[in-house]
Amino acid sequence: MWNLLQIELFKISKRPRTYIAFIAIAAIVFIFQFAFKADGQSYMDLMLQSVKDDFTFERVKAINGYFMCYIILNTLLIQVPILVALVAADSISGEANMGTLRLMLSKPISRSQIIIVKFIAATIFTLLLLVWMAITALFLSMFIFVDDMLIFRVKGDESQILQITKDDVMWRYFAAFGYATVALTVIAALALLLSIFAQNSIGPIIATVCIVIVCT
Amino acid sequence: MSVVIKVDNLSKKFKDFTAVNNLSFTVNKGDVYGFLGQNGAGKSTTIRMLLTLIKPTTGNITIFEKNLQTNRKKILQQTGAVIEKPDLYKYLSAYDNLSIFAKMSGIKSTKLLLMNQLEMVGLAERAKDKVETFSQGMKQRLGIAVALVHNPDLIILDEPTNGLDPQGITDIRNLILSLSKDRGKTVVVSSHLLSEIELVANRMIIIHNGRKMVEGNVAELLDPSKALIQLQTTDDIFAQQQLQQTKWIQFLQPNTTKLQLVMPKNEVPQLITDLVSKHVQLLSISPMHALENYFLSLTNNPTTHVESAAN
Repeated sequence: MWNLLQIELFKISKRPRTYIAFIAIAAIVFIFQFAFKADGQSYMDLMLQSVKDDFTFERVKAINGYFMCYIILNTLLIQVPILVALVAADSISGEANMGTLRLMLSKPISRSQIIIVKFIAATIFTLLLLVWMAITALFLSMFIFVDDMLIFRVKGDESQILQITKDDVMWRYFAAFGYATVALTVIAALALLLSIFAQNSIGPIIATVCIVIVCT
Repeated sequence: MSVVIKVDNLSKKFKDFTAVNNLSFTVNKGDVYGFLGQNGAGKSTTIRMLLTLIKPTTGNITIFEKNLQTNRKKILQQTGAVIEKPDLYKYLSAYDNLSIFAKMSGIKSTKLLLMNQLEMVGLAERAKDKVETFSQGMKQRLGIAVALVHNPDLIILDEPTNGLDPQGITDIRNLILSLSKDRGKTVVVSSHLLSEIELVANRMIIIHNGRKMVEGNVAELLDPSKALIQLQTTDDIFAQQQLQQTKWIQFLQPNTTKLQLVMPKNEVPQLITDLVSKHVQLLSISPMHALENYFLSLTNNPTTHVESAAN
């Protein structure tokens, strides 16, 4: 089983599409960081418009690493599942399309071993993607910007602003990334399931993304 | 001589279409066993069943004296195969492909072993190149290296010379012969070309429309002085019983749907006399000429059925 997992991870690591996900996340994050570094105040003015008469914020500190991570995670809500589906939905159907699945099945490996190993490999890929997100969106933002309390507008109630003190933020991000791991693993499993029924990877990728869009 | 593959009454149906119909054959240790038939005859379907890629509808497969269904893993550890076309990871190098499939086959491969394997198929210099840059012939040779990397006792090659140039075909032919003669391997090689089988195989089977037409020793089957005789009687079971009690049993083709004998042409009149004396009521007797002509008649006319060929 360990041998098979090593093979699976090796195959994933050798495919250019694997790195598309990491490059895409890095690109989105860098664009946001650059934009907020250049003109973050306009955004903050807009966000705090409804409460600016009642409160005074030190604007520079409001645009901090935690806030950047909050904005980026909200933006990547749809994109990351697509990136996970791109790899997971290809794992069986891609092999079927290339014909290598047939050769694999003629080796002394059971079908269930193949599915389990592919699922574990997709989960590892998902975890790595989230770690990469945490590094770029959270830690790099904390490095580029200051770290201060997190201030954000409550969704659904435009008049409310929520602030979380500096000491109280980090564990919430860890919890958020933990939750994202579970959610994205479910998406990887769904993509893998759909991948079993297809001969090429386009169908399962589109089907997974559609399900994600409909269900979120 | 020990039997490596024993197939009994194997059938495979895809909905209403019967791809393999009641097929039985045996492959002995050290054989180069030719699997001959037109495209669509059922060769690949049979090979897929031998490799557990698909399940038979009915019938039994025994390999290395073990039931294939219940001993799949053990059997596949000793089996190497190239199925139809060499399907490899195009984005990986030849070396990486070989290394991956060696691990999948359950062996610990060394760099030396893998390079030797690539050397054997003439790809050592291209070991680090990605498979997507390879020609069809090079992929085919790499596919064979993959099939042999774990030193299997049974090698199944489905149309192994497809896409190869004349030199490549000769190389593969020599490799097959060397695997059998020098290393004692059992090789099953399928082809739609009789000439291909004739040059490498010592035993062969011809299948058509999923059914066995004839099986036996290549030299004997392709002997121009012999003919494939098909008998039609009022009671085939009775006729078969009568034949089994005589010297004609040695020519009788087992497990075919009709009464067939591969025998010297000059003994046909004697066969007729014997059958009549044993009260077998003959409706027709159809000499199919030499086996080569018979196979060519199937090949040249794709719509030909056994029944029509016989009548």
